[in-house]
Amino acid sequence: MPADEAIVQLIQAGRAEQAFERLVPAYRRRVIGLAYSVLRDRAAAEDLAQEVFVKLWRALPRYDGRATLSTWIYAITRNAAISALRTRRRSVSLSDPAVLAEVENREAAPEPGPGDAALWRHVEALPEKQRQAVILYYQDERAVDEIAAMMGMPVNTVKTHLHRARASLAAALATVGGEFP
Amino acid sequence: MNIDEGRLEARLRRLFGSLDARAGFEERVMARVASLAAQRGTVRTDLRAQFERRRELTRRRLRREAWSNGLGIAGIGVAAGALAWHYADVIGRWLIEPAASGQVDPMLAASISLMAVGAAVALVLWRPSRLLG
Repeated sequence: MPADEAIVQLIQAGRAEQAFERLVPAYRRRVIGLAYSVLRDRAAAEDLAQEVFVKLWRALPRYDGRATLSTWIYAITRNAAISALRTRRRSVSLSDPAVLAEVENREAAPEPGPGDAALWRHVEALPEKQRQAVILYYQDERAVDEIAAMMGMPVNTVKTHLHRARASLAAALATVGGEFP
Repeated sequence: MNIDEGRLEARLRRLFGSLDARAGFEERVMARVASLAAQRGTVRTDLRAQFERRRELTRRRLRREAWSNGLGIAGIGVAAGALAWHYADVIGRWLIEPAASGQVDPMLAASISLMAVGAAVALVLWRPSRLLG
């Protein structure tokens, strides 16, 4: 990616601040998408994305180019998201009726349109990896190999997850056709 | 792909295609980073001042020690000179006469050589200025 090359050149020239100024807009949507695919909460994903960019700002001068820039950023984002998810799971108990009600009523989908709530419920019901692959794939129509890099898994595994997710969702669409205008 | 899957693709794109941060995200990140950079700068300045203070205190202590050591050495030198002057006859008989006649006591020669080497080593190693950096 040409933007990545320019960023890496700036880092290698010791101009990490300028590199960071270019990195944030270049990776904003991808970091948000990856965080959201794990956390499934838009506000939490945005907070996490901010933390990730602060981490990147601190670590950028030490970036040695052994991994590609995108792989390095995705690994940091993925680890931060998984860690945040673990913390949230520890601190939230679904046996608490108030928390359960909040989870059921929360506006989980990014921009719900007519009938989207039902579709979102089906996406939510997918296994974790399938759901992540679907969100990342449809967020920006990314290539499967980029999603594989973001999720840290082989390309064929991502293809399988996407295929299974589409089949599940299509089956749900066929079953509850009325819910999908 | 059947018609339902085509509609599904479109719906999923619509559902997740808008997924992005709220407006002003980049500005918020940059403001946070700028605040962290300012904090980091303050911490660095504090550490530097602390280091300079410690360095100055060490410098003064070493200077004081150098003066007191110098005075001590000078005192010992004066005392040794006074003793040598007072016992010049004895020293003359003990050191100079045997040397003049070529009959130096081997133990005495070894002791004097050892003292000279010890003094030279002490002079080379004793450099408090090296600790000042």
